[in-house]
Amino acid sequence: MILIIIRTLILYIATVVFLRIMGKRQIGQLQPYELVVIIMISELAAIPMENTGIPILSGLVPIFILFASEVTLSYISLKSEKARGMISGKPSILIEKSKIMEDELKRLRYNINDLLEQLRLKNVLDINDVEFAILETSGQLSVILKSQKRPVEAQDLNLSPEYEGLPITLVIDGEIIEENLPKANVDVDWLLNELAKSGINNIKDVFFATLDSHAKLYFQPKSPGSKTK
Amino acid sequence: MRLLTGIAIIMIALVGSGLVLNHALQDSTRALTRQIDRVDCNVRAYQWQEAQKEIEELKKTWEQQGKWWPIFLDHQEIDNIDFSLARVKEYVAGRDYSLSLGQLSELKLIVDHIPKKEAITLKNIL
Repeated sequence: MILIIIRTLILYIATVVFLRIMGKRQIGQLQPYELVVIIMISELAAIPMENTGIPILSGLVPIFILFASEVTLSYISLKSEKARGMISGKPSILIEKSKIMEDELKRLRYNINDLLEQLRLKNVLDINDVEFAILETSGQLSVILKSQKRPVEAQDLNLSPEYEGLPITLVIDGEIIEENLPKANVDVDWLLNELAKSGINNIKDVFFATLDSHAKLYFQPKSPGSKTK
Repeated sequence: MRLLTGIAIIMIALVGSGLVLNHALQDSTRALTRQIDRVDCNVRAYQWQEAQKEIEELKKTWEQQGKWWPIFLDHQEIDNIDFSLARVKEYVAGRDYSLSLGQLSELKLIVDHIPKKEAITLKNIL
């Protein structure tokens, strides 16, 4: 039993490390070869976990080989557009100027019901509103609406809204994120002062605090049950 | 680029250790097979005392050589050798000619089979 626990932890840590190095993408945005690697890695990790008769190296080595192959293919894709086309394929235009490209649908074996479903998921109910619909290499459908149908932007109303940068996180779960204080041009004293104005005297009682680009502090105190006594 | 370099180094190390492992496995197997042959000769000549001594030597060699085998090989294969060795010991102690020779033959086959299974051949790849 203990053996299974130890082997599971080793394989879990190894898998997490490899996936972490492979980079950040959501499952829905993975290229086909990346998805294959994820599925195979999980299968390979599971086998030595449950069978202590199989050496742990029989799981770790294939996982490493898959990881190495994925990184190598990613680098090749990065450097060569031709290779990128071969490895990941090319995006396909399924709707062009409101016209469904029938030949492209047939080539991709993508039926009209799937297309309509994806459009509905993007809140598009009428094909007439679509300028372009592009099936990306990850399988996601990108929809570009006609200019008359897209949501109104500030530019359309001749408005010039103020610049909105990224809010900077200052406190998470009672801990000050020290490296973010200089980015926000504030210091610990200022932060404590601002919190004290709202009746919070202990940083440990703050669940979350951010500073936006207008120097406005937003914070949320911890719930009564989890506050420091 | 650093990541690729690191991966290349680890790959070379893996391939290198794989080749070393195959070589070491063949050496271990040869040592064991030689001793099995000696036991076999003694049994055929009805020299049971000598055969038992050789079996003890074989056991020691197996304990020494087979220490690292479980790290790289399926444990079932290693268990098979242990079981076979235990049977050989008893058959020789009981001076059973046919069973001793039969079991020795099986033990030799199991031991020979392991490096063949790990060899880089088309049959093993497919």
